[in-house]
Amino acid sequence: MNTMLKTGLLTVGLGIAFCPADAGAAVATHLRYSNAVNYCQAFTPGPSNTIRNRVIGSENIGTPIAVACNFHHVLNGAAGNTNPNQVQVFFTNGAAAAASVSCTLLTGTSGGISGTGVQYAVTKTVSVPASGGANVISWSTADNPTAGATDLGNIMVGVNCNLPTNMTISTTGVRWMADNGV
Amino acid sequence: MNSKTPVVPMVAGAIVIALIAGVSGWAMRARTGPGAVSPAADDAPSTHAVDSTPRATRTPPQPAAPAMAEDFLAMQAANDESVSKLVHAGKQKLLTRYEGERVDSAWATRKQQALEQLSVSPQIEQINAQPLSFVATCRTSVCLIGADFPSRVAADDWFTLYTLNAGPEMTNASSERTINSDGSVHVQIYGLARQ
Repeated sequence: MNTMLKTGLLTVGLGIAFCPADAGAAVATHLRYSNAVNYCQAFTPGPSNTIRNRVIGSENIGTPIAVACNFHHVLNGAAGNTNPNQVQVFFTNGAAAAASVSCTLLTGTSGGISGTGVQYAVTKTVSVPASGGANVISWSTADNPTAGATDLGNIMVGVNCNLPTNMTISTTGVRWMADNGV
Repeated sequence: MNSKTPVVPMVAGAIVIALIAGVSGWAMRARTGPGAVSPAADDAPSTHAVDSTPRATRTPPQPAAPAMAEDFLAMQAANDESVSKLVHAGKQKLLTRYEGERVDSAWATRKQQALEQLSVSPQIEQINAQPLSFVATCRTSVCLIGADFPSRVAADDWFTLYTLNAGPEMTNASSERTINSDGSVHVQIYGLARQ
């Protein structure tokens, strides 16, 4: 009996020892920041494009121009992986005067050549202080018109910005929830 | 009590231990095998969260990771459905609000003029996306815009740039693009132009 008891206790001990291997697994916030050069480009590329892609971001050196930014999202197949629930665009103003910049989070389907295309737009505007001042525009679940939304409702989110002269999109950020891999 | 070690209980215990160890080891290998989560440095959970969202909460399963191109197309189709619901929800909110509003004439007149002026811009002209016609009808906070274009491309280009131009005047907007009987393209927008 003594041996059986010891064997049983050893079994329980081994079981406990193996259990913590999964104890740290959880769904956690993931944030990805990037130089805007990676994810933003002029809406109309070509000779009229006045966007300069620098290592500190994308600067418009001409008259106000539309810029389209996409966001890199990761799906890992694990439970709890969500669509993006926040996107951010950061600006730096290289001009001598403060300037406002507007960006639109655009969600929709094209509908093809003859189909019905539908889109929902949420536009935000911020003032960016002069001479190197910075500011950010951010969209969150509150900007999803679906009641009780827990994300932005789209796997591949995109933003258009109207970039004033000498305004730089320095950084883009995207946030989502996913397994922490532990 | 017999002081000698009984054989049967020892064998049974050993089997149980081997079973537990085997299952645990298999489970650990499964977590590091193909398809398991293995965050690269830039995908690692951030320590710079910008708000107070819980750092480790269980949430319902969402999109599965597509393994093959066919899976991705299926995921894209499901995503389009989800996006359509979102757009529909947005439109319904604005439409309901618009239909329930009276007309604030002074504000509506000013807003309609502002929205019309913003329907053209140097960049819109540069890519030849000017509307053939443009009508804005505002009430107390929501405006209904109708615009026609010679082609789908012109309509899509215009809408992209118009939301940027008119965004400060109309923060939330829902649009629908349809084809007219003469082949031209109609864009209808409900926009929230007053908070």
